[in-house]
Amino acid sequence: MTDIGVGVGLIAIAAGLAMGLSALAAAIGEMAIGSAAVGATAEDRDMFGKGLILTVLPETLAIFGLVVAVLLWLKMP
Amino acid sequence: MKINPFRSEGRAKVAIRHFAYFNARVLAMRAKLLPKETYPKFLQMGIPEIARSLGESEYKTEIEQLGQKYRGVDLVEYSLNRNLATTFHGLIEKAQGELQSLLMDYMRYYDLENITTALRGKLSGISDEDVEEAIIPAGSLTDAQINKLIEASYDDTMEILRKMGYDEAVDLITDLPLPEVEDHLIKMYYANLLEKTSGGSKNMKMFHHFISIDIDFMNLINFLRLKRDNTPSTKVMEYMMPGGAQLPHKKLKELADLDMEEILTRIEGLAYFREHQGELTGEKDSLTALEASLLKFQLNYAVREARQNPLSILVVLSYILAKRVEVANIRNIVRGKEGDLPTELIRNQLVL
Repeated sequence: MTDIGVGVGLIAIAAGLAMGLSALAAAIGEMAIGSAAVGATAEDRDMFGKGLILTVLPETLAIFGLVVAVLLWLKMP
Repeated sequence: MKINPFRSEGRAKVAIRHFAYFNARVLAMRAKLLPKETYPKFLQMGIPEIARSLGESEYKTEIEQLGQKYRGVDLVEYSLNRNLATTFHGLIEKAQGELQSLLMDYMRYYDLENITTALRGKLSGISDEDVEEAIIPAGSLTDAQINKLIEASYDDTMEILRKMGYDEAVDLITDLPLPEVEDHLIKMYYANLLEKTSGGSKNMKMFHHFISIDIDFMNLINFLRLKRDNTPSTKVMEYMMPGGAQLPHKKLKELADLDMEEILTRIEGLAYFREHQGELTGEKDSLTALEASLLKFQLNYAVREARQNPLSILVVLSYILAKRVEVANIRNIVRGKEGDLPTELIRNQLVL
């Protein structure tokens, strides 16, 4: 097995945490917004588009996490 | 086991995601309530035009269903009752856990109204059909139970009520006149709601607070009516409901000895009216306008509190209040028009 060193290992863990935690936060946000969007659409079908847009808004958090993870990954030798 | 007719069994706490779902549905329903501009238009219309206009709104199904059988005021009136019942049953069906149980208990108010309507019908010899039309089946009683109550003889009704758990009410009916029994039942209903919601989850506490505000406004309206009729203060206090949020018994007792103008000035010091000083005293000459104004304040207060707590039970409670106000407004307009009341007088009764 190749020895990658502690520093590289820590970068890899940091990249994993950045992605994982931001995705978790996005999921928590989407839980309530998604439920509300389904509720609003059930009463009024025209709300589907608006609901969908609002539901995916917390996804930006996951994207930020992904960007940070990629930046960290690029630092890896 | 003894049945408590005022209370359903306790249920599980409700997850935030359910509140997000449920409250979004409620808010979408609130958006479909008639806008304020509709009422001045209704005031200019005749009763058939109002019925037609309602037939194009959220009352479409009921107007279409009942349109074959009824016309004019009757059509509007029964459609309103049926729509109210369908809407409130729909809310209960959509809710879950503790929220559902609280809503069910809150709607039991209609059970009491329906029972007293059925009894009043029997005592005054009104036909079963007319009684049936005055019923608002929004409570926990099923259609079969309500029909049984209406069709039964007076003595059988007592037996049915005992089976439903209203033993105390039946005992009172033999001793007291019906209005006092009604008053007693409503006091029991509120006492049960307050007892059930004292302590417990955050939503239980919010519900408790909402009920206390409800009691405050109900007491205020009854208080002002009784004072206007120059009822002695001891008698006034007999009709007051205990458990108000800002107007406990002690405060009401102090107010009972004052004159009307002073009472209104003191009332305006309460948090409900703080931002609208002078509005209540401005309405002091007309009790109808004063009552409408009080209801408007209650509704605005409930809506404001609901906005501050968007993931709470307050959202649905403020919607229920708004729906009741809408139905009362339409009812006042059509009844006023039927009785040829001047438009200005009808307008005074509206909560806008």
